[in-house]
Amino acid sequence: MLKLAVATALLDQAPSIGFDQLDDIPKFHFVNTNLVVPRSGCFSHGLLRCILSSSMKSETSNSITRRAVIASAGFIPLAALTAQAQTGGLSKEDRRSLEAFIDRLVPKDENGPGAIECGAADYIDRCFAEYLAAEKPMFTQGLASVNAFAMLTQGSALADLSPEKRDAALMAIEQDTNLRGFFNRVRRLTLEGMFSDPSYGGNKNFAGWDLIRYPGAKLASTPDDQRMKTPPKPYRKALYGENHGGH
Amino acid sequence: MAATSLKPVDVVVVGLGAAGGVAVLPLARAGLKIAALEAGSWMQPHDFRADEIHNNVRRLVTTGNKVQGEIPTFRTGPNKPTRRAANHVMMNAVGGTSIHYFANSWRFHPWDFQARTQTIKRYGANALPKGTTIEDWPVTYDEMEPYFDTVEYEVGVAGKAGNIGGKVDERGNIFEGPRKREYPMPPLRDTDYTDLMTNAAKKLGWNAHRSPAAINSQNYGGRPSCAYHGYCDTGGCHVKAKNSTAVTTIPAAMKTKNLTIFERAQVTRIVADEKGKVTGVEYKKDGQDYFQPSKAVLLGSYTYENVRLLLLSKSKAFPNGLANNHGQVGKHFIAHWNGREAVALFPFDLNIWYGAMAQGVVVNNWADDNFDHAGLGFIGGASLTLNHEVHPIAASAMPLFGKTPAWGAKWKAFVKENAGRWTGCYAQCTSLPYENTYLDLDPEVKDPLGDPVIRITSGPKENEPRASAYAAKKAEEWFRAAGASEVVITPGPAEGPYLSVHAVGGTRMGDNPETNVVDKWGFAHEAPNLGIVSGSVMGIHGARNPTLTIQALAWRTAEHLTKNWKGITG
Repeated sequence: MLKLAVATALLDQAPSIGFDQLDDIPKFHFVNTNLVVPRSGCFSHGLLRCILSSSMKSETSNSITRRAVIASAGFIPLAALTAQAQTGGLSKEDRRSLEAFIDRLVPKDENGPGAIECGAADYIDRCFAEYLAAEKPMFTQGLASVNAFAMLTQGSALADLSPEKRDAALMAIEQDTNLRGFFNRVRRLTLEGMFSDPSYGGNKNFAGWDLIRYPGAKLASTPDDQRMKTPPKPYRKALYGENHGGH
Repeated sequence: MAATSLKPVDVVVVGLGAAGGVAVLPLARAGLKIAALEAGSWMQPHDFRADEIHNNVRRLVTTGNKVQGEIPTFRTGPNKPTRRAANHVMMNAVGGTSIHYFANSWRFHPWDFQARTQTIKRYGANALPKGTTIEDWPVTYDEMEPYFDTVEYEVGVAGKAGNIGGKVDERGNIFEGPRKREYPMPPLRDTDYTDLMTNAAKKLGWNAHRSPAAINSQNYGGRPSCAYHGYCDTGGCHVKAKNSTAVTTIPAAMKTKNLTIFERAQVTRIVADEKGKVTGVEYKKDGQDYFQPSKAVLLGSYTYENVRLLLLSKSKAFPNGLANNHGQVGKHFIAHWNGREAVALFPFDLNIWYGAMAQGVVVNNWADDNFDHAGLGFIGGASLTLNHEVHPIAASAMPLFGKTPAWGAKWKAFVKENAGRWTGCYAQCTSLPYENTYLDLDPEVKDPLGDPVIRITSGPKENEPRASAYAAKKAEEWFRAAGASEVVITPGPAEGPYLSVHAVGGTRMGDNPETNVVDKWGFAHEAPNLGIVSGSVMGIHGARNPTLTIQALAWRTAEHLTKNWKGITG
């Protein structure tokens, strides 16, 4: 019963998470630009604080970017910079919950590697150590709410459930008014982890890009690269070298 | 601490972006000494990367600077809850938004300048939408033509003319106003996809043409042609082929030695004397306060910031904000009604990953007054654009077309097949000013300096949703003609987009000082040595990207100042 009470209390907190504000494909912007535009739900001061703090964070990160640029110009190993910045990612338990979650979002199967094999969890973990550090408490709370929900409806925390039961829990979470926003946030970050440049820790061996036949980022494309019937060959190069850490 | 007063200059230009960056060139060539105050800095090619996380997800080209603390709040009416966007594209940098924009470079249509009169003439006064505050512009397309032409050649625009002196050419936009001569460069590269879409439009009997783009399609201005790498949007150009003012008009103005640029200079107030004449601006740079005296001020920041600066600049002569004694500052604000109205899925790979956003095909048959509106219930319309440049994360976040759940093995199989087979049609609607849509200062939310941010009030509209729904059906026809297997139409809210990367109005240009902030030349009715060079002077948003029209207006305002220097500053 105690477990149930804790779980219910956690679920009650879920609405303050405010992930509903983060939308994958906002209506009034261009498909390519991932702009986060609030579309529904009430504005809350809690959210405003969160937004303000994350925009402050983006300034910090930007200065890191510029440092990194300067460093790369001087051939200082970038690993030295990023290793330092990487402390403070997800806890071991949160990482386990996250993996249990995203492994079902994009499972490994006959179509190739899944989210885990693509390194999406590494990407997300690194985000919370660096760029999205301000969002980490909210994200951790979201994972706790998911586990509480799984406990209530399936009897165990997400990572302790069979794939079938995890699917059942996640299907309900996707529909849940309070948890839908968090679900969409995890999905969104998983896509980023699978389909971003490998320098950020995900899209390992370009498995994400291979899956969707994205030929790769390069500095120039030829007329032949833009043909429809003879698509360009994959160009497998990471922008900054793998495991550079992004920024 | 008291502000350091600097040596007077002839003209202060506030904001060195798409508009201010153009305005400095005629001023500098006329020998005027200019201090350009820009809140951002110079950006370099290494700031611009083929990296979706950097550009589009984290927005590190466009954020991390002053504007992030100034993102407006918005609401749908006076008693509705106010919200703030988590992220909105604004920009501080030498070159401003012209660094990261798509670079679609359109002349507004002749109809845009006289939409009110033309509508009454063709459909009667009842055809004007309820609640609109629309007026004709105090300048016609024909009067603007020389300025469009000048800017197209100074900046460099690639395109195909559809009407040279009345001679119509179907390879260009047959609906455009007559132009004096051909574009300085041919359109960007043709591809299988642009051919497919051009032919599909032709099959429907429509005129389709390539997007006009301020991007080099060949060497121009000593800079190379586009590399078509597919990271133009919200990024900058790593080879200087995108003709932002930072690589075109600003360097040209610097050559005259009459332009001094102050980076990281954040203008906080425009100062006016008791007679209502502006005397200079106050700004902060690296923690220090300065006063820069000048004989004239050209205000060239983004719409939100122009309105905010005016409302914040109170004085004895202007107790409600500079040039606001008629209460018009912030009125007639328009957030451009544009978006992906319809998305389509094709049964084959489109291969539109590479290229540029401006590497597109456009249909104007359903824009402006290019078709008969009798019985349709709206005026204006939309241009429809299909284009290149898709990034992999955005591609995978694709619509599901009712064919798959949003995750799991089934989704994975779906996205594997289809991430490279879908696209959206970019519909840009005519957008009008309304009584229920305006800007003022937010009573609660402040920027880091303690000044209020802008608050957008955007009420429901009828004309734009109807025009947009009509355009979406045309987009569907176009997609079907090109072989799409699925098309989904996604209507937006009646209040429109609130925040817009095409935000205009708020300091409208018009002859009547009771309803307009600036006169027909762009100078404030109430403060004659204050000019405004920005989309904020526009009284209607045409059915296409605004930048070239803003730039042509900016050139005209600056040139007017040089030709009437004594009258304006005396």
